[in-house]
Amino acid sequence: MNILRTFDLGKKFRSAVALEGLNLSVPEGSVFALIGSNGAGKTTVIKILMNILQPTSGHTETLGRRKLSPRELQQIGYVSENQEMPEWMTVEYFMAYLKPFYPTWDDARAEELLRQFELPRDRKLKHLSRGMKMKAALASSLAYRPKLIVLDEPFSGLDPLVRDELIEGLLESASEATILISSHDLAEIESFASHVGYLDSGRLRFSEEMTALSARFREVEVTLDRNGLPENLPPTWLRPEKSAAVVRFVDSQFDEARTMADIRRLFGDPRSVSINPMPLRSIFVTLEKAERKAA
Amino acid sequence: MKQALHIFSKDVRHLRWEIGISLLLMVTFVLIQLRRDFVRHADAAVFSYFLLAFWAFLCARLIQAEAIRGDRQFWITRPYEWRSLLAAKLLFMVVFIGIPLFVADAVTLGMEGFSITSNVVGLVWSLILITAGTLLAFCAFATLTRGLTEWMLGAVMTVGVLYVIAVIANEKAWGGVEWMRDYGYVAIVFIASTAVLLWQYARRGTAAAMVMMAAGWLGSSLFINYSHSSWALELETRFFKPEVDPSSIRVAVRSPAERGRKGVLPEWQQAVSLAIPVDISGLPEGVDLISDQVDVAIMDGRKEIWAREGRPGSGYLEHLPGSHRLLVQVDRWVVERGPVNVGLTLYLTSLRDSASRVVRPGETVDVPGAGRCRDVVEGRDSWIVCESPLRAPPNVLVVELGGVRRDRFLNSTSYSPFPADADSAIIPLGRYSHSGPVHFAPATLTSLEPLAHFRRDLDLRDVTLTDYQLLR
Repeated sequence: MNILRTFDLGKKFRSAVALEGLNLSVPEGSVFALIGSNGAGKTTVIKILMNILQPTSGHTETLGRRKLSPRELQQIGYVSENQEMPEWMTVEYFMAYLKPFYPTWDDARAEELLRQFELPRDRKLKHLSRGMKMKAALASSLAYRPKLIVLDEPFSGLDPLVRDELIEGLLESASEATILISSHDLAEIESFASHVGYLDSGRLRFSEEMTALSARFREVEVTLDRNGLPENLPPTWLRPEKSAAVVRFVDSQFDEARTMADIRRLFGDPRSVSINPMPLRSIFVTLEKAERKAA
Repeated sequence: MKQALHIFSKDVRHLRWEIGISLLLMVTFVLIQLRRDFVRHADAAVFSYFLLAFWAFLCARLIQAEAIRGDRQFWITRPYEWRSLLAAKLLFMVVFIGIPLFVADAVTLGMEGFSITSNVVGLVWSLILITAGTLLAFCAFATLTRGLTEWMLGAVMTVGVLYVIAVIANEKAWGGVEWMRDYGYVAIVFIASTAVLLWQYARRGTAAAMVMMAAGWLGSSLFINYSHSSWALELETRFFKPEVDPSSIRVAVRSPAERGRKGVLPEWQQAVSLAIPVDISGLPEGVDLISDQVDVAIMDGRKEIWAREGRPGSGYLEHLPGSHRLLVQVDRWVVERGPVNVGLTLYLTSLRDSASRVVRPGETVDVPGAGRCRDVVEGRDSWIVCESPLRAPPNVLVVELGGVRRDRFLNSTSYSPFPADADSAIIPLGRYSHSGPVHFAPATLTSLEPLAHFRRDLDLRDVTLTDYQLLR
């Protein structure tokens, strides 16, 4: 079952197209990473899913509802990098103020989060560092054990230690919630995301399980006995390059038998073939460069 | 309701300093009003603007604690019920502006010697009016802005535009029906503000709300400043239930006593006063008559060449010993034009004596239906000052000075059926005065109770206006 869905979603800001024909599904229980370069439309999708912005065309369903009422919002934790907080409140008052809004608020969990994040209870939010503020926002969004956690660039500009603490806090909730996270921090995301969606210029290029993505992307290095790069390479081979007798490319639909058969068909009998898995960051960079080249 | 109270208590904690300052300002305001010095009463008027400005600021702080405009506020992804949020904000306004203002007004009236219990309905009504016409507008405006800087810029621009509209506006006196204009203004502002608040809290659609607010303010401002009094007088003549049937009252124009120009007008004089003798018959015993407005249309044949409508100060019915005449002002070029037809529309009110009191130097007298009046002398100037709680007096005050009757002496009568005027919550005790270089007291003040409002149309065919020219 999908906890979040978009149907042919489109959004324009005056004449600028931010999203176009977006169909995205986030399965229940997943940790879904929404990746894409700056301006790809990640924040716009999230804001439409959270009913903060209205779409120009299409619609969304969050927790099965097109329009979020307070009842749905009681089950959603939302944290964004540029959220405006009630700066005059102390951390303790902020938590106490939010408590009555959530029937599932768990005092013990709230205490635990405050301790875990080492948040100073009597300090006003305006006097907290950026990292601390993000921790306070996350603590206030996890204390009621939400069914869905939506995070928009939560790690942006944070030092590694704070990032680790936030991820740790998040992972403790991952077992009981679906998480949608948009981030540039691909290395961090890779460690805990179960699904990934790639947005480019307002379009969804792919959306799949992380294991499937990792399995289908391979960096291939072929050492040949002769020079020359043949034409008509398979379209799934991205960024092909050649130096001396070595050909390198990224296979975006890797299947060992088929890839090897294609290599033999194009290069004859190579001296050696090296096939290596790729981290998410390398996959992302490959896709971005391939898109730019195609454009 | 539980959520509304929760948000309300958060706002109280957040805005405790602002609340303190507001209450302090209100106490100061009461003290300023209680100064008996008549001239210094102007201080209260100035201070009332300051108080209004602070309330506008307080409303902005209150609304922007959960700002409506923008897409980054923490609260919009939290389970707020919009009705609870709006209710919390309105409750705050009532508790920290409305109720203190009610108490301040009651204390002011009480300390000034007016009965609080007999004015309690008026006090509540007055509070409803200021909430509908002012405080809701402050809150609605605040929902359109993102922060205090934006709010400040918006407020300065709005006040500037409304001021310019007001500066080039029509006359303010409406012959006793000003209340219709004021209530119309309050109604437009109330409808626009309510629409903006409901729209913003339910939908958060600032662009549409800005259009609604601008339409409301421009509409109300144009209405209060540019609409003519004739429609209000017309409504009054049709819907005010007369206590005495005015159908027997006849008004007819008489020929001038002598014809021809009665002197030479100086070059610079562009307006000419005409004195048109009239006969009034059929007045029941003890019933008097005053004009609320006289509209004039001058025609060459059937074609209108000059008209003046909705200008109560430019024409009136004057009482002379044993007779009446209409005094109207017209442009000089019309008078000098030659034979014309004149159409006169008279909005009249029949009245009967309610009470007469003599005011002596240094004394204060209660004149029923006209307020509490006294004679004030400061230096070479003299005033007759009447004070009336929460609304302009319902009766017409007439003063006999040196054997000459001065109608509408204070020009303050309101035929409003309501217990409070639209602006009475800020300064609950209205002071109406007439000043002059002569000492008025002792003077006889007569309060006349309105019985019926009606209209009479008069036609003068082929007349030479110089025959009616009045040289002062």
